Amino acid sequence: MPGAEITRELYWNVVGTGFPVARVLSYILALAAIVLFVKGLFRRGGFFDAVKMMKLASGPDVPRTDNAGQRLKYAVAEVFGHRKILREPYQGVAHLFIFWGFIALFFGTFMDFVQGDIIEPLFHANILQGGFYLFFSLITDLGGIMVIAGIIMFLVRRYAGRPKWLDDKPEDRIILWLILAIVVTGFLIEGLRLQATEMQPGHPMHPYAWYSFGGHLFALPFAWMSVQAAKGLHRFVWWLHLFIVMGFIVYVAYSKLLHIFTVPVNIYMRNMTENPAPLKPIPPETFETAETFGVHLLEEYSWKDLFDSEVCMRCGRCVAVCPAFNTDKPLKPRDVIQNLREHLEAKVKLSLDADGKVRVIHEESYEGPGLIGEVIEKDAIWACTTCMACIEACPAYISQFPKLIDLRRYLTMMESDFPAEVQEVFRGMENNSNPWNIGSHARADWAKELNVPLMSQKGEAEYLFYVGCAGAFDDLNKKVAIALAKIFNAAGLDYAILGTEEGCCGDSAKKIGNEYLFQMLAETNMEVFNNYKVKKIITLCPHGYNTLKYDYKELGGDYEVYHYTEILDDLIRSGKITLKNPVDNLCAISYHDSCYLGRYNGIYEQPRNILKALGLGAPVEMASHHEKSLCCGAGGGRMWMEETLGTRINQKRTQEAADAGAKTVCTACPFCYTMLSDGIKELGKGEEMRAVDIAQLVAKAAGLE
Amino acid sequence: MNSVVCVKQVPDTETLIKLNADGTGIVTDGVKWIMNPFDEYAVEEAVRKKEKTGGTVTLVSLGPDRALDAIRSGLAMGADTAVHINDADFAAKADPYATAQALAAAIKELEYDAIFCGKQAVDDDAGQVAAYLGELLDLPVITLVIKLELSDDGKTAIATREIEGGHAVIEVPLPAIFTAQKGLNEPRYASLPQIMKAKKKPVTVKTVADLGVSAEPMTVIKGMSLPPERQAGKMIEGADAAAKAAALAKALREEAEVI
Amino acid sequence: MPDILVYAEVQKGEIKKGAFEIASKAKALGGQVSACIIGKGVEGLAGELGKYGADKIYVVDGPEFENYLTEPYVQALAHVAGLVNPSIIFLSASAQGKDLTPALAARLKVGALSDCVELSLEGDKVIAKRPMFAGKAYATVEALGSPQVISIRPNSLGVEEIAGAGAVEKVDVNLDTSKIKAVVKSVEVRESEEPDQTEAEIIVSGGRGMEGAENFRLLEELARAFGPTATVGASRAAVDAGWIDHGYQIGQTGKTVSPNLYIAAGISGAIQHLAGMNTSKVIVAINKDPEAPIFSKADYGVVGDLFEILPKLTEEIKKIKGQ
Repeated sequence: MPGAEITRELYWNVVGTGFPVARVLSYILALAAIVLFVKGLFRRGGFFDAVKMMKLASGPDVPRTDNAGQRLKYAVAEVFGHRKILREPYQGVAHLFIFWGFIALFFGTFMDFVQGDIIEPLFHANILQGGFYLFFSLITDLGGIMVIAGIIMFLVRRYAGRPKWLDDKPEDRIILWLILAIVVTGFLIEGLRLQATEMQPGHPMHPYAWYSFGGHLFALPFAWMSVQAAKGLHRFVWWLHLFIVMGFIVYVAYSKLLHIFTVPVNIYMRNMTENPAPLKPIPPETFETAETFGVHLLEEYSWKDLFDSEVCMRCGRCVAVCPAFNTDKPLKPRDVIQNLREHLEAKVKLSLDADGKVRVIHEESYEGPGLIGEVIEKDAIWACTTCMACIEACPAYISQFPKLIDLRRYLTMMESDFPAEVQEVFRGMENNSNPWNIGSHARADWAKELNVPLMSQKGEAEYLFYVGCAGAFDDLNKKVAIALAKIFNAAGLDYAILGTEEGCCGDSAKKIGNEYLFQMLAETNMEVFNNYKVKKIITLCPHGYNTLKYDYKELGGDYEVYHYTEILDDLIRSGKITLKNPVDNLCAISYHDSCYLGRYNGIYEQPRNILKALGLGAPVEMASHHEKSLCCGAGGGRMWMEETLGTRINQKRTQEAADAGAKTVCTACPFCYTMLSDGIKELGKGEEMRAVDIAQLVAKAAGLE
Repeated sequence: MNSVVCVKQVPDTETLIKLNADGTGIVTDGVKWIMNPFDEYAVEEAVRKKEKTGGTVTLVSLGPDRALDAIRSGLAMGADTAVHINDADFAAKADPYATAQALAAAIKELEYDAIFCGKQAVDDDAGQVAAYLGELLDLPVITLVIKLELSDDGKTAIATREIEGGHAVIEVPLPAIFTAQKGLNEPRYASLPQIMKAKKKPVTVKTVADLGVSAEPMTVIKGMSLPPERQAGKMIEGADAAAKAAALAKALREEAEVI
Repeated sequence: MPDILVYAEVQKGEIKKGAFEIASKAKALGGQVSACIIGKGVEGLAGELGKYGADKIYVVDGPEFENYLTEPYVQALAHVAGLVNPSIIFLSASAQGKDLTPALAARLKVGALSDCVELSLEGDKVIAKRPMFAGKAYATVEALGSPQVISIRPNSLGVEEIAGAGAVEKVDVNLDTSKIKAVVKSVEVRESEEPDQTEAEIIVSGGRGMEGAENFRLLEELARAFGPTATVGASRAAVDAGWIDHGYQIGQTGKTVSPNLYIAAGISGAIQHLAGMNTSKVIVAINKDPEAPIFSKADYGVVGDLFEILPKLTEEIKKIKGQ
């Protein structure tokens, strides 16, 4: 075991035997940096001013501080484990290197401080010696090398292969070069010290020099240098390093580096409700009393919405996965958040009184840019498909698209300002409880002659089969409803449909921002459900599934909701449905994840299990699938709007399927089915490709056509 | 400009029409009632004129209790007040002539520069009420208006009306009656605050007797029937395109008789 | 045997087909048939009505009748009605007839029956059948007063050549100008032969199956073969593809039409499209995909290549029309 000779002198070459000028000066510098850092946080329009604005924010929010233990555990695991960050392996690994490298360096610096500034001056003892010193040396050097590796990865990406969704501001480059400078100067200090000491044969530490392998490498270029020269240069670099580090500390308060502190807090405060993307609740009784709905002023957001904007470090992952951005529409979720932040910081300056208090500016006397139209443009607000890819991708746990729905709510309910074609959709939902405005009497026409039990005749059933508008009215999707009814009949499932008593689920209305209409539709449906004492519901459509499961619950409807893929998976597994007929001509089958099944509800495997059970093996995966699956373009009410900006999302998705070599694209959502069927036609691939719903394949395989 | 708009509550255009047992009318149970779509253009135009020049918009509607929903829809679109001639028996048998008698009696008590109606109600599809109103109130009637402008002094209107294959521009001194055709405007979707406000706007309820009207209808419905069910489609077969085209032309001429 | 007065509408210097239709129907019902024709320089047209059952034709001719305006026309027609004292007055439910019918009835203080499609006599009274609820039901109706003012939907009864005495008499009408408050400032009638989609009796519509803007020529040729009451339409897919102007779009976000004949070529039948045209009287679908949903809504379906079928169909129609 090596002994006390294995150590090094702290403040070597910088602090001599006389008055410790350097030590005192470095204390003063550190103090100044901390003061400037704190000042930065409290600067006009800075973080703490933003916090004042957050306190004024009136929007409701989900609980953020319950289950403290669970939250802490999750946040610690996420911060240190980088689970979400690593979803993008390149950036993930780079960040991981920098993160853990910095932890090692922080440990090293901290030990330096403890030994050099506390133990040595006060107790004249040395804890940094022997094996522990060697470990300390090794770890800090390893950390430094990791940081350099991570920074180089980021620099390469930024300078040599910057993807179009990654923006490039001066601070992005400054931060990278600043960190690189810190670590390189750190290594230079070490290298020059080594050159002047351990590298010299005969130095007691000479045999251990390679424990400082990073410094050792940096010493090599200086091998020619005399001890004296090395010492001189060392002193210079030491001061340089100190200044850069202090500058860096100050810069944290002024830049996106603040995410070091805000992101862990945001992860701690993550949405822990069942609903993966909750919208702000509007209690039904407030429709009569509230003066405004949705958000058109910054202060109408929730404090957490505003906090989110301060957390974002512009990584751009939400942009990379956004179907609107990827088809050249003017929506970048990151920019929504960033514009909000800019607006927040500008507005808080206008709202500050002389005594530093923030007051609400009256709408009439406010002269800054308007939230809707100027801060966030309307085309961006309406481009969102609510596919949830942004939320899923965000490593900072920011909730992006619901902020757009807040704005839609204002536009729709307060201003009746929505794409013109939507008016007919609302009218259809109001008058005939379906977006096509087809007579509600025709809702059960698809089930004629199929022996589908009606709730009104059966009285009660274990499962309510909630068909939804597409299955009931749309010719393409009626085929899916028919297939399911045949399968349920064959499996002897105890189920019934509501027939003409069924109404539109309201998901599209809700996502377009018409919460009033949504609640009217939901209340009507729930009344019918409750009349029949419905407990379990099978839906054909993932949108109905999601809205019945979460949004109806918010209004007091508590049902066990299943999507049909869950039920079919179960029926096949339990042998209640036998797939006796091979499904032919289905080589190269691909499965398109519906957003509302996958990202919203984690139903990825059931549809794939069914495809496997059909004897088709695992489906061919498209370029994006599972959590990253590209939306078909129909969510968020986009099904009912013209797609006039950019290119068409359904065509992009269809092309992805074609590029994967798929001949058959399977869907489990009527919107997806429609969009991909159209996509195939639009791309002129009708001869070589087709879209089909999984239920149809199962019915065919079970001999139920 | 002060306007009066006549509105009628009708079954939703997509409603399944079923006849009652004795075949004299339709089954009204389960019918979704809406404001006559053409009346929406009329309300919208009146509200737009009000928003531009000031004044008030008063709705007048004849119908039973449920007609209040249509009135509220119109109030939510921006009308200020309404007169509800609530007389279920009278309304049930009223023809356009009798309806106009009741409406005219109510309108006589109001101040107005223009009266707007839909070009027709989509239930009986008659399109006559405005003409009777014109006669009863001695006002000019301009039908099928697709564009309406007011002179600066607000005393005359320039109306563009649809005619076969084109349009005619008519100048008419106010007050006058206009019937709204599709294309006149895009009726608004009432905002939520407007819907809530509409619930509190004043609606004067009157009976036909209150108005001193005792008109008897001059037309009667003796019976009703449903059109024959649409027959299942027929596929045209043929050896080649020419044969199919010939068979189709023949069918269109001889069976369908549309050529 | 009721005496009937028929209003014969003139458009573009010709008596409209609808006038012959109601005149010949009047003759078929029996009694004396009088016709009234109003306009400027229309006297020469009057005699033609004799070929379609008119026994006497009253001509109101003057510069004040150059352009249709409700009030002068009502006064003129009411004046003639005063001379004839008919028990029934027929008008064609054209755009003009729909304006004039109720105005006349109101002036005569009687009831009116609009847009009737079938007529029968019960004694001297006409019992009519007319569509209600956009054709989803028919009502059998009677006008109680006298005369009975009745407008008849064009094309519903058919024209028959049936000779009447055909005597022409010119009538001078002293207009009560104090009642004529409106003035016609201008009239613009489209030069184009094509009617608007909403007015057209025949619409030839194309969708994604047209494969390109240049192929809409096939539809135009077919529409032209059908004659001046036919025009071209399109589905949203074709409009979105930029092949044809948005003004042609039929469907939920376009125009709602109900022509006598709707030909859907290369249109799959998306629900949004059906919403705009499913009240058409006769629907023809031409599509190469036999599974296309449009076939379930079509009265006649043709499975095949529209690029072959459309030109052949145009030829057939030209043959029928004798062009």
